[in-house]
Amino acid sequence: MKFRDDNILAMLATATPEQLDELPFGVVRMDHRGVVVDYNRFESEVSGLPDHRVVGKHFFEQIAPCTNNFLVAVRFAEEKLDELVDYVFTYRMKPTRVLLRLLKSPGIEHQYLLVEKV
Amino acid sequence: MTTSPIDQEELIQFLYLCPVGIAQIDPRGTISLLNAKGSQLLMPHARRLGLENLFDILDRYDATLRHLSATSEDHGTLCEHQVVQLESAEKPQHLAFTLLKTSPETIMAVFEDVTRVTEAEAETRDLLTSTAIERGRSELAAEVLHDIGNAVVGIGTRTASLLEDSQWPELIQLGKLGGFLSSRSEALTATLGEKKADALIKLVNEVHGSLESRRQRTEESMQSFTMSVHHIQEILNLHRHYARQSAYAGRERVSLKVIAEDALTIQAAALAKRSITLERRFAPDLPKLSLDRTRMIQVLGNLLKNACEAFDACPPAAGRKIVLEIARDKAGSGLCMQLRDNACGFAPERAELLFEKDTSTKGRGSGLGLYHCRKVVESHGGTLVLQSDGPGLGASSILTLPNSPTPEPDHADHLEHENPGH
Repeated sequence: MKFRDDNILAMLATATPEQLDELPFGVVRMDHRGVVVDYNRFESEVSGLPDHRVVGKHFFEQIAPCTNNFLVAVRFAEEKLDELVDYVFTYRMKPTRVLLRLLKSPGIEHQYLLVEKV
Repeated sequence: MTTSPIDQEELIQFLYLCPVGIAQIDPRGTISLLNAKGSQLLMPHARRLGLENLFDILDRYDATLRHLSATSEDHGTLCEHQVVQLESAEKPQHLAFTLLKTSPETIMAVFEDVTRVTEAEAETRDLLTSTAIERGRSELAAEVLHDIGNAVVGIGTRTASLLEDSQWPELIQLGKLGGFLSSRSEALTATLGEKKADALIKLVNEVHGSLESRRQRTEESMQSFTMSVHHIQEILNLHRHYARQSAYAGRERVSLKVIAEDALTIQAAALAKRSITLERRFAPDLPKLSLDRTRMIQVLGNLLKNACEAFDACPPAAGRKIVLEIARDKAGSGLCMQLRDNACGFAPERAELLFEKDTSTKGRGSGLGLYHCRKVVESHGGTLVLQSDGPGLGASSILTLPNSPTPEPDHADHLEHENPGH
């Protein structure tokens, strides 16, 4: 599975947490309210946050408030979403350029935020 | 003091999740540390620039912070709560920055979104300005009304004196002369001949009759003139009363009915001029409310004036009517006033547009526009809406006013007027 795969959402939807941990980019699996369901190993290592501190929390408000604006969080109000966004994360207070992929589809239970370091 | 790794992690999380933007920059603006809130606030304005340099992001809006940071001082507060206005697609965003220089190469920047506060301040400023303008107008109006009042008193005095002299003694004497000549018609005929004697008597009596009817018309006109002068004086007194009041406007428990009656007195001429019938429907035992009576009479006067002027856009027609209804609101403690007309109305979707600042349905400004009317009503915790089913179907102004805890029954409505006087 690659960050820019066209049908990545369908693949993510069936991937187990262990399979997500194998990926070379960050994956945040959320329900449609923004509550984290899975937080893969790559993202956990980059952010310094173990998944047990993240799962069950509201991603945009409690984990990554830097995304809580109209560029990212507000976009997830759309029913269908597949968008690449140049962004800057502040992992452990260090501004870090990233490429985000925002994914959501009506037929799929979860929404996803993918993170690739630039 | 040493810190354990857990403490460091907590400290990072504390700074990271701190609900204000925190950044560490150098004097040229290069960002070395930035928390989540900082990124959230700056990212929409940074876009392709990334978050590498704070001043590169801000310079296109305001270069003040860059200039402040170029100081040669080693340390110290560079600015406190310096507001930078950043344009965005929807509306301007205001960020307030505090910069603290901690070493020659390190500046701590703390910033937060103060857009709402800035907007609220702007609204307050607008309100203060409009209040000051309104007060200035009131003071000017009070002076003008005083001068006009004095002039009207002069006219009234002169009119009264003309009425006292309305019997015209010359006319009485002419009447007596006519009677005398008629009673001496035989002697006149003997002297002047019948034809000339009759003509003379007829001439004198006709001149007398003609002059008498002119005198009566003049007397009637003078009486009507006197009534008009009285009416003008009443209106002037009312205006002067409220103009003076507004200089130290405050709230008092007052009857909305009394305010409505005062507004009606002021607008009486506007109603009469357009042959509009007014129907009052005042429910009994209405509570008095805590109102700024000066402002409220301006509001009601303005709504009445608008309703009257709405008829100007209609073809002349019989049955022009305004219904003024005051009743308790649904909760039973406050009041609801409805002013309904059967004039030109408007498209329902325009209702809110009419409240926009500087909007006038008549293409010219009025003393207290609907925008200010609503502001006044809202300052009393009430609501003001306009409704119409469409053009040609009339319109309603609906005003609600809540009540503060202890309503007093409205038993002494018409004792509330103090003598306006001078």
